[in-house]
Amino acid sequence: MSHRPAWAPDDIDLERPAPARMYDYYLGGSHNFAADRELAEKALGAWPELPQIARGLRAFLRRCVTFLVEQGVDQFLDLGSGIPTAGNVHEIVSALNPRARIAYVDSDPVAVAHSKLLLKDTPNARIVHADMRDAGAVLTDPALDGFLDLSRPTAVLMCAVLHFVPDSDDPAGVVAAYREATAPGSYLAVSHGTRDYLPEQIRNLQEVYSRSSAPMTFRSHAEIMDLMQGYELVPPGLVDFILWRAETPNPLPDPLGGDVTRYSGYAAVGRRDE
Amino acid sequence: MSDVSGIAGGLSAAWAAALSAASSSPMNAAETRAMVALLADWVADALVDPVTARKAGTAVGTALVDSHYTQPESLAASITVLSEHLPAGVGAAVRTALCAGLAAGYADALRERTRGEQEAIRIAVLDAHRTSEARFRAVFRSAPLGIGIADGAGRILEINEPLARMLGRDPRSVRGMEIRSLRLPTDPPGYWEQYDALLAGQRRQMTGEKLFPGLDGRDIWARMRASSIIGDNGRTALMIALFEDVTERRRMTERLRYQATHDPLTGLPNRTKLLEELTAILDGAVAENWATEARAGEERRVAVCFLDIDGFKAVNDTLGHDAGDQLLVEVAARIREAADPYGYPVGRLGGDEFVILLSDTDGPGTAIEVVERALDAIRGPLVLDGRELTVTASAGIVERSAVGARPSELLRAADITLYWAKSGGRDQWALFDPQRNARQVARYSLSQALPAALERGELFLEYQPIVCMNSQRIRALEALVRWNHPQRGLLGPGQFVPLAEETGTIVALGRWVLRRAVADAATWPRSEDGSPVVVSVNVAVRQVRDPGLVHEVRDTLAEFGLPAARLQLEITESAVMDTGESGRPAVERLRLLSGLGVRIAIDDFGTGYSNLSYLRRLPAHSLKIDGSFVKGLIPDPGEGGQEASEEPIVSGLITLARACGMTLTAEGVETAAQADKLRELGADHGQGFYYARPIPADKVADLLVSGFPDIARD
Repeated sequence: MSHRPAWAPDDIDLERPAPARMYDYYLGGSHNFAADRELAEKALGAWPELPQIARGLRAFLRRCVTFLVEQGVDQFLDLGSGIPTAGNVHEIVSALNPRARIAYVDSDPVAVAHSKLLLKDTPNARIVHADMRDAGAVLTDPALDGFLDLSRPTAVLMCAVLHFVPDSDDPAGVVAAYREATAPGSYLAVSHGTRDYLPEQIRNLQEVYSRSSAPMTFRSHAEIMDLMQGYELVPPGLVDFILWRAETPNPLPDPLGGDVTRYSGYAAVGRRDE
Repeated sequence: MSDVSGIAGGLSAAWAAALSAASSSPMNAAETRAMVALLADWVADALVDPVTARKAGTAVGTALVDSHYTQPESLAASITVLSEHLPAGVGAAVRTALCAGLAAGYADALRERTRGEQEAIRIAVLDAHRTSEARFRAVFRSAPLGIGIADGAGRILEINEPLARMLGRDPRSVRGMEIRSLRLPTDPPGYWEQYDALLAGQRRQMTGEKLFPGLDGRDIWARMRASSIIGDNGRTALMIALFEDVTERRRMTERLRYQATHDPLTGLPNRTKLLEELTAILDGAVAENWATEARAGEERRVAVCFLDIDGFKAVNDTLGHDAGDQLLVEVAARIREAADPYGYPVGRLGGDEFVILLSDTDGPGTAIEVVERALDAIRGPLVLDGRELTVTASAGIVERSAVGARPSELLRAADITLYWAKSGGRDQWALFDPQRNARQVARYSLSQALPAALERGELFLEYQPIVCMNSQRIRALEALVRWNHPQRGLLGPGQFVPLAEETGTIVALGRWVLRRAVADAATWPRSEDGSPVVVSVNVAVRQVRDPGLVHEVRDTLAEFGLPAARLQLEITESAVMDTGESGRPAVERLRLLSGLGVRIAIDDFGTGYSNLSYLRRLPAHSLKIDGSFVKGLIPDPGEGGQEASEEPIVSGLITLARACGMTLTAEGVETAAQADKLRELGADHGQGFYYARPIPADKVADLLVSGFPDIARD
């Protein structure tokens, strides 16, 4: 910091809560700052189950990535990857296929710096500092050049990220841009918060997040279906995310008693056929 | 011990369920179960004594955190499960030691983990800052633009290397300096007013172009754009200025401008530049006049002098254009040298025409002085292409009040005056004379108006009879052109024909007169005695030179059916003797005309210089002598009779005409006495008021039928 002039423009504002660090807090992590924790506590006030939801979403991520590796996918583009806590995509994937490659993308400079530190000794994973809404910038980033081969099937992960893209930023267009850029046989994995079950509570949560660096937009089942146009959804389609290819047999008990309304989120994996 | 060895299985299942309800880890159910089974084994093996139990508890607490069970509920759930599933035989000390170890181990591990994660995120933030700063630094340092940042009080916070170079200062040395202290006298007007407004928050942006004295003495022109950043308190927090080096662009522009305003050969200002300067002088005078309310005679005065090399074309033609260019360069230098002591600008208008502008004159004196110096200097011998030669120049000077003068008007006046100097004999100057100019302008405008006047029918013909001295019968009528000018009234030929001859419109005018006269004459009846009446038409020297004249005459006669013998062309003595550009007299053409059967009269005979031997060979039929001879035939008694009678001369002219086989017509016969004398001397025809004044064309026929009622005839 010593060489940094005080007047220099700063895109790292620790006074402003970042969803990536709030998410880490829900997961019990300490990669966060007072401002993040403060707003996260407010969010917990509006929706006390957020830690369980966060864990549930991690569990979905794990199941869906495992599924994708089983389908033979060995390239992953994880958009909005956030703070790289344990159980990240590259850990899951590498355990199953050590040669698979994973590119993380995030716009938060702190998340990016953290990921860089973590991935320092991991040649098969990289982090790109870019806004996932700008598919052109992401896909032409020099870090991806020669790393991902987009002429071969690639899995694009949009887990718990599209609900940070407001309608004014054309989320369908964002999805379409990645679909166009990837080869047939590529996959898209989505998990997305919904207002279908508890609209009142969702409004309160949205209100809290409007004070963060990334306000949230919860969508209906139909709206999320629309976003995934051009993909053939694999069974079971777009469903409550805790139900998507849930562990069988012999699962451990669900902390929220398997109540899908308390999770209020859908997930799906789609395949680009042609 | 045996009663506790079997506890692990039940403990393990309950523990996995409790943990998964309380918290979560990235592990799936199988992995969780495997991990918890291991922990349950550790516990089961450690229930021997408090020290061992404590150790195992510590290890389990650490393992839970390492397996990402970081939510405190994991600890609570674990303690609860252990309490419920430990065999009843396990002593209180061991139970307590196990739980204490678990709590302490968990807390220690979580603290370590938290520290590690906080350290990781802090490093990440530093790293992100560094990346961001590096990006910013790269922009700041490597930008080709000069960048300067100042605080809201106008103090410099930082400048980058390019701006430091423009300022000619070390980047560190300017930190904390007031921007205002960089003020330079060369800064454009309004620059610092804009800055003040920016600082005060009254404006957000400013632009300007200013000069920086560069480090190496090389001046740098920079185009500056600054904008302010407003802080939370609404005041200017930062000012950021970008400076672009536009020195080259300006130099280019200046070069282009120089090229556009200077003559490449002599390096002198060209017409554009001179007009600009002259306009500035005149505008300045007008502004001053307006401000001081100066009265007529007190205003500023200005002089414009045109100088032109005499016979420059000849130099160019004989010595070549390179020599001509050398001459121009030399003359330019001499004129400049002559004008320099006075500090007056010298320019080249084009060709061999130079100009000196003098402001603040007080009469033509200074201008004449400068011009004479210049003409003297030009006259000095010069070596051109190895040859020594002398050239001269002429000059036109116009000097007048600068108020109310227009640049183009002044230049034109100087040009006209130059022409006067040239036509006055070269190697001299002339001073503009407004009266002379006014006359010229009037004449010029008349000659310009003539072609249109012909078309509009403003010109018409009158006819003056030419009478046989003996029979008193009309033998011919001379066509005299009149101009019914809409503004100036009726104009006689003397007022516009010489002008038309000068400007060349005489050709069109002459053609019109010829056609009109021939057309009229074709309608005339024969004279009283039945003889055909001739129409006499004046032909100017330019017409005689025109190769088309013969055809024109023949065609006109044919068109109107007038016999050639009824047309007489009056050509002045000087026109007949004129050798024109061909160097040959007009005899050939007169012979052709005569060959058509047309009569030729030599007009104004005796007023010019004739080659008498040549006269004999002329195909002319008649000599016309000027009225001045007739007037002198009978001296005016009022003048004391000092003047000798012209009688012998008239008599001689008559004899000469006879000798050349021509008749003689006397013009300007005004009295009976003159008529009698002329008849006595043997003149053939007379013309003048005594016989008849010129009459309108439509009265000619009547006159020819009735004759002169008021003239007594023998």
